[in-house]
Amino acid sequence: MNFGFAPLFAEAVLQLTDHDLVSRSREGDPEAFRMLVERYQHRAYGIAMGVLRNPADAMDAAQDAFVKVYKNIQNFKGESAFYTWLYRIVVNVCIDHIRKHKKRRMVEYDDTWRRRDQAEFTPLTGNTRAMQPNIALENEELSLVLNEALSTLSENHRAIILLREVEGLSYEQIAEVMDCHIGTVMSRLHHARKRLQKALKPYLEASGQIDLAQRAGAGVRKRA
Amino acid sequence: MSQMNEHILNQYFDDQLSPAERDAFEATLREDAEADAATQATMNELTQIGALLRAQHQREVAAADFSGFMAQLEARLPAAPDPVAATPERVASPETPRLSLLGGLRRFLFPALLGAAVALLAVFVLDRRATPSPAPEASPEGPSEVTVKAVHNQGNQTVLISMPAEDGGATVIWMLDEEEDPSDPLKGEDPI
Repeated sequence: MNFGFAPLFAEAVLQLTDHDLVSRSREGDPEAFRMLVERYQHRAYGIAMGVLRNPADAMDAAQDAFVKVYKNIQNFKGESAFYTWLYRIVVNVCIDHIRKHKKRRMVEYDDTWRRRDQAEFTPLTGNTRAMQPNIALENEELSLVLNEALSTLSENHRAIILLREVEGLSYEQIAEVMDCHIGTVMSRLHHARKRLQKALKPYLEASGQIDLAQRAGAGVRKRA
Repeated sequence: MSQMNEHILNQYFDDQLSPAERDAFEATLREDAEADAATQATMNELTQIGALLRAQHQREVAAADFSGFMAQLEARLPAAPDPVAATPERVASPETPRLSLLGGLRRFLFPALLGAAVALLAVFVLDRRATPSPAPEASPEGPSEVTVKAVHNQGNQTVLISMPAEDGGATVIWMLDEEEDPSDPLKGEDPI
């Protein structure tokens, strides 16, 4: 017999805001903390993966970040959104991780790209505009070029461009996450984009026509 | 395009300009066909790069296995904080060596003081007897060599024992008491 409790419960969970879950977690409710983790584990991992470029390290970093959230949730005053606080923790964990393992990681990158440079790729005949981006990335060459371009950026530049392009954070939110001035955010974002533009130039389609009225905010991404 | 204009273009692309700044930038583009074409080309590329980054991100997250994430995390979480036990001064961890000082005092200094007191008692007994007996507990005569003036229980860990000394003073000795006897007739008496 189904009384329909499960959908009702799921709906109730969805209606709980981050603030509700944080408040309950601070009161020691383990289920509320579990819901926070389930709500943000993919994003935490995604940011860590974007910064660290290594799945195992990214999973460790996401775990470390949530342990820090658990230990410090009493200190979270709610003056900013929970996710900006979480992202800040994730980025800090990743930067600490890179500093600790910098030498080893550099060797890994060198070996990786040397091996891949020797592999044979089918040259791209189309461009990313003609294909959907996810389909375009199925071409291993483009995916590797993108990875390589990202790996040439510093961890701070990678974090900023991901927070902007993937998470859709505003400059002010990125400055809060990265604990830096908004001018630094603009400068690093510009630098990261220039670097990616240069690396991906052969794969990007020549300019099309965009009506002037539609241009402003063309790069705006809303958080899902 | 100058670096300044590129910064403005980035802000324009991300909709981070104020309405006045946006209007001024668009007015410039209307007047300068070359700048307009360059802006359009750059915005096209930035749009494609953003799409590629999001597609890459989705692929990476989709490839990850989160089935054991919560279980692994819960295994790493400390126990739910106890209002008393969570007091920082009570937590001894490698990260907080400063806080372990009190624990060290309790653990080492107090037993050392107690041991010193027992040793003092042994010296006192040996001195009184003027014989080479190795330790008080080994003496067959036992308590007959020590005159106890008074014994006062100070709690479940300490007892005061007062004895007349040769110079007429009193010696106070601290001893462990395994269990406090509530019916101790000496409890509450001032031995001195």
